[in-house]
Amino acid sequence: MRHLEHFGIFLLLLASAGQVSAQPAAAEPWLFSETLFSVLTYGALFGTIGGFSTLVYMIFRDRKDGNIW
Amino acid sequence: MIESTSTVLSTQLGWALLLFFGVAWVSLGMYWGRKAKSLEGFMLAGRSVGLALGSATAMATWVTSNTIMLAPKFAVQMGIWGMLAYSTAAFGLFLFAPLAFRIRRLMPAGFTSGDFIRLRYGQASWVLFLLISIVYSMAWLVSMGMAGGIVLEALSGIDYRFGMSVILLVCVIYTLFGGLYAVIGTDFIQSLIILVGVVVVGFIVLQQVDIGTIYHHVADRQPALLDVLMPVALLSLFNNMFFGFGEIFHNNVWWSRAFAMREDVSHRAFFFAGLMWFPIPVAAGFLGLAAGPLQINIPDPDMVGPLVAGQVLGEMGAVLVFVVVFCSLASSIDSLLAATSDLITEDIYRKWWRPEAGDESVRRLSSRIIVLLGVVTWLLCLPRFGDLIVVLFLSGPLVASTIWPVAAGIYWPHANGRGAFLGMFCGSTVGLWAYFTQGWFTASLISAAVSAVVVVLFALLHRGPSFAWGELDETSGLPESQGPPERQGPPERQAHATS
Repeated sequence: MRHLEHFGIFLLLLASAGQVSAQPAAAEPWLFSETLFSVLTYGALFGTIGGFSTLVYMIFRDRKDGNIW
Repeated sequence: MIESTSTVLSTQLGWALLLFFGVAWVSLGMYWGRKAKSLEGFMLAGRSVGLALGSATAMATWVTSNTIMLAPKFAVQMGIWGMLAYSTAAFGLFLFAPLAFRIRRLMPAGFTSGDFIRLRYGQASWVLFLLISIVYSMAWLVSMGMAGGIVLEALSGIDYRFGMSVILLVCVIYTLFGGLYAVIGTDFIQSLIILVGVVVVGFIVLQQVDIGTIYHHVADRQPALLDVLMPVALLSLFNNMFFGFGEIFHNNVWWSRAFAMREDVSHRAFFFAGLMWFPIPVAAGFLGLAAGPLQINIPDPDMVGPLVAGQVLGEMGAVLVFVVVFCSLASSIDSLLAATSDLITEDIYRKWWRPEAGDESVRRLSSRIIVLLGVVTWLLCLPRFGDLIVVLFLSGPLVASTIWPVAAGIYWPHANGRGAFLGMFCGSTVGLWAYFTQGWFTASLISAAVSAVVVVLFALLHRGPSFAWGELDETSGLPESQGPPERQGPPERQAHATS
């Protein structure tokens, strides 16, 4: 029950944020900065490398423990 | 301007790659499929999948051809929010992690998501749920079959019909022989290839054009793409997130994985899969924004990612994109074939049509359904109709209406069959109305909201007894010798609807 309440509140907050943010933009557009764009792009590429490394580590660990299947 | 209308890969090389990977997947699938000796082995890989394979299969299944092709398109049309909008689909994997753990506990002998809806809410909700699930699965299959044919044709000149047909044929063959063992085994290899391909393409593009150049080019020519308050992009972000919740919460692709993983692994595997998946659409979306400064002419927004990679990296890049797209397609098509076939055989055939059917006959039918699904998908893909996003997002409001019936059904004993049925019905109806009158980027949001109100209202007004969670365990009334692994037929228990 408690989980469901938290989940519901989370979803409603997300939906509200979407609706509120979707109001017409101000005359001076507020742009994402170059730094944020860099962080996003490099973060995504290095995050993908992290995902690959994690998978390789996990398969060797599962194999060692006899837990692959 | 670089011309992007000619192919960057020779047709001969395209065919060679297609045949090489086709033979590889079929061989590997048949090798792993040798383990599928029982029905449960074929449908659920023996319910003992470990963390590495569990995480990889959830991640690879969620990386579809749509991820590789629509994420860059989102970036071209909606900028940075567009890149992130596609990534929010990862939240569905995060939220499904605790659900998978609870599903595994409540239904130790469960086979499909349909089993849950039938036992939890009764027949009316079950029928509507199956309808939604099968419509969505077919839409997903068709969108991927089409995407495969389109990408292969654009990259190598292989005729759309031949490329699409070969991809479907390969997936049908190895799923047919190996069941979920083959699907999960090949998913692991495919996920490694996808991750390597995305990183290599991303870094090589960054060698050609730096981040600052891309940013200033977009800021000068299309500043709206960097707008923090771009209304359509923000709506699409939340719409995509809810669409993702609906896709994952209801579809048997994910439920069959939850049932296939060991109980102590399921929640961690889905969480890791979400973490590994999240950066991929951003990395792919970045290619879309790089198209402008690289002066690549994009005649079709669906093709922006593959065209940028192909034009910048030349033949090597085209080969890489070709392989990544093939892996993305195969990892999703095989999962859908297996999970949708399970849904039809287990829910429609075994639970409704022939309750006395034994494992052997169910296994035979399951194989036939896999072939039939392949043929139907092929027929629907042949005309090559419409825009990819139309095929994908038309099913959005349908699946978004299942979020609350599933989530509330798993945690809230007062949620009931009447609320679930009306929630799905009203959510889908109003969501489809929104799709056609307000725009695709509102449909899933509205559908989920309507469904939530109905499900919660009926649960709050519920005056009958609470649902007994034990009803979900179909083996609880059987002797130990008739436990889940070797069921001979359906249990006698009647579906229990609390309404």
